[in-house]
Amino acid sequence: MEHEAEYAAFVDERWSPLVRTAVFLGASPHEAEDLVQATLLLCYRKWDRVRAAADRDGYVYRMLLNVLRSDRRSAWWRHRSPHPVDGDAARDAAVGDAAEATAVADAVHRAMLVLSKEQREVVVLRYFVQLSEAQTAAVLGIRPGTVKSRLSRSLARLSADHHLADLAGGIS
Amino acid sequence: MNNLEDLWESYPSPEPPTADLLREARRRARARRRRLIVRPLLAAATAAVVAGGFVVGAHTGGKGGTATSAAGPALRNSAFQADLRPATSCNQLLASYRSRALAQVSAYGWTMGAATDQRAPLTSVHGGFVGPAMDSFADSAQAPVGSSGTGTNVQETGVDEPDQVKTDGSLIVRIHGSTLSVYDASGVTIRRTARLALPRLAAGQILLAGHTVVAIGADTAPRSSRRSNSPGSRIETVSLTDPARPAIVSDVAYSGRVSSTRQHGSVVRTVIDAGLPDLGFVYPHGKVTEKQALAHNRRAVRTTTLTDWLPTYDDGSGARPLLSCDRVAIPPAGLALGTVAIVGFDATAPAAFDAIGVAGQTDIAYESASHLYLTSGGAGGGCACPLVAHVGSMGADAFSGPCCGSSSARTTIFQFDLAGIRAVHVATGKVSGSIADRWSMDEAGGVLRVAVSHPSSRKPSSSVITLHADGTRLVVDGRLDGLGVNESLTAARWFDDLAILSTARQTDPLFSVDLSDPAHPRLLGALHIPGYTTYFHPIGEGLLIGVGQKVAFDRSGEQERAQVALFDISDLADAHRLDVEPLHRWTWPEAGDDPRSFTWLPDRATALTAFQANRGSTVLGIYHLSGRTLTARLRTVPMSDAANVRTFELSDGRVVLVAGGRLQFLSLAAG
Repeated sequence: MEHEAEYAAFVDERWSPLVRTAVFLGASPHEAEDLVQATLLLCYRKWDRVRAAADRDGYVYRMLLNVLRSDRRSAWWRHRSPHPVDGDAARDAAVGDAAEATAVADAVHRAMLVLSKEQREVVVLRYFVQLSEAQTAAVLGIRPGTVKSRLSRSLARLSADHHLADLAGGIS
Repeated sequence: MNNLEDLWESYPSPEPPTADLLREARRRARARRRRLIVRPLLAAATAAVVAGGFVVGAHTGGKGGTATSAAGPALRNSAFQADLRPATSCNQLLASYRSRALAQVSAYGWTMGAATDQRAPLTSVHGGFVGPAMDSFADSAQAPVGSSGTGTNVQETGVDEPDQVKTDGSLIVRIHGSTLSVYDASGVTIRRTARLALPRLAAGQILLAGHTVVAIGADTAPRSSRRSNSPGSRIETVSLTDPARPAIVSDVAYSGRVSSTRQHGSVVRTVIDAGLPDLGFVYPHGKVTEKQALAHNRRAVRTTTLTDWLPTYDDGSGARPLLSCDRVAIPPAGLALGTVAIVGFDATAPAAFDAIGVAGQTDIAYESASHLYLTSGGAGGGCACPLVAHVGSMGADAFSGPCCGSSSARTTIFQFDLAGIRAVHVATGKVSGSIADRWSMDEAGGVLRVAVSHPSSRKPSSSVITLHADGTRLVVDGRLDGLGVNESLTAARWFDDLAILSTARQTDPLFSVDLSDPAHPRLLGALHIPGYTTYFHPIGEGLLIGVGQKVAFDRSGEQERAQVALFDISDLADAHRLDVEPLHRWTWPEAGDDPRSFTWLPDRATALTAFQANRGSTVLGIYHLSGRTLTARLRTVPMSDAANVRTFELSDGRVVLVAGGRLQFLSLAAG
């Protein structure tokens, strides 16, 4: 089916950045994969809307954030099937990177401790994922001006703690 | 290393699990169509039977009676008495599987139909329904509905449903994951008397028949050789003859998912969905072109054998076919591919089971006191285009039917007579539209009533349709269309001669439908209130408790809060809300997802119902009815998931609160 081909390509392309984003937003590697899986399953379900979205990236990251924020209330974790998605186990085993992923995630989480949740979201979306200021604002539901001010404060914090090599980085 | 940019770059990127995600997405798309459009619609022939006194009488005579239906035509020696025909040979069966599979395989594996979100557009207004002036005739709504004999809030009186905890009145049995615990609740405190590990069973639920526990769960033993998309299941029976020493009596693994289990007396009947085999499909990516992928996948289908398709069972002596070829009906052309088995056994003699199968995909199982109904198709089911249900037309125009998502989607309903552990197919019928879930179906007085929705038509709406068996056909008696235009059905409650339906958009119209003349369902009234209801419970004297949400479909989720309302339906032409008790923000009613989290205690005029709250907490709402007002008390339960909270009453009248592993008596005294 046509939309499935499109969807498969979409998953191929988005999986890694989304997992990375979830880890940077505070999830463990395993949680991150669960969250991204839930997000992408949601994308399948709302494929028409994803497709129609003027800003596909914005839409997907917004969904990821929603899934992340609502993780404790219902959606993905309560309706997770008791059985892992086929292939989960195989994947876990295959990834010798698991240890590295955990190490990286720990380092990221330690570094991000200096930021509030709101600051962290801005930094991750704008600085690391490199969404535009307008996209970031739309995803987080805040004004572009807020993105700017929050970002500069956050980057200053990170760089004061030497978590960023170079503050300049083309952000303005 | 603590440079975040380096960390961003160095985070490992394994291969995306695209194929797994696709498969899971399709599976959920199918499951969701059953769930989303209509939340559980609780039905109760009960009140009806008690008050109206006609019909089902003999079949609902409490949990002791078996739900046999010896009446009806003398049974020939076949499980298939109507238009479902058993395979004449194994070759014929395999050929049928293969040829139908070829029509359902694509370059991406099995096709399951489009995955569109079918929620109705948020436009338009309520249809102009005018309820005729009616005097009070809701007699069947007079009797309250309590829980089953094992303390579970069930759909049908006399038909028990599995749950995580059961009681016989003084003894409590609970399963958590793979551990069965037995408690003695006859003393001042609840004491655990025994514990039994069922290590090969996960996510278990239990039934209790006398001293026998039937545990149903996912199979955790290593997969058998059969390649299957569906995870396996396991059913174990445990004897509590000595409650201090529960002992496993039987242990059977099934290759397939248990989609429904019901208990009539000591007879347990389970519907096992073997799904579609995992044939190692590929999908186009990298160097694999679409054409190559399709060729590969078609080849995989052509080389299947019956072991790929038919479910197996394993009672410890090796996997054996659950169904012989002549016990499997080849469904009429058009039914989506799959295999479903109906397995019946007595809890006290689990080894002697009866099993029949249908080589098709069915979606919903509803069991009344005397019949089992399986539905297939409609936008709610396996309606992979062009495999739309065309039962009865046996191939004639099998592939000219409407596609999935078409407004004229049809649902096929198979009716099975239940005679002890046997199930016999006796009639088949079709309705236009989709049946959302088992709560949308109800049988009373030999009449099957279904609420169907037409979610994909240009103007989505719901209908109530009545059917009865005429020979081997289920024929439509009457229908009422146009309920809740552009809205989705969220809850329903059935009475003998009455249906209460709720649909939602931004307000919650509550429709009352007169079913006293099955051939002419009539709309009696529509009550428009804010929010929506996901679960109704009749509490007698024409009163109804509705559990729902204050605001329907709030996009931001900022306004999500649960509420409990009291309705007066004694005058159906003037159904009205007497009282409403909203909860705080970020609360979601569990009863809508799972009515087993709701308990009505008739003697205490008190309802107990769990809510999921944010930050992983659960709120138990205690609603006391005095006169015509509800008094609410809320209690925080230290439980992250409201789905694990249950309440029930013991035979001595004390009420037990189960929150995960904690069992305690619940004090209902105010203050």
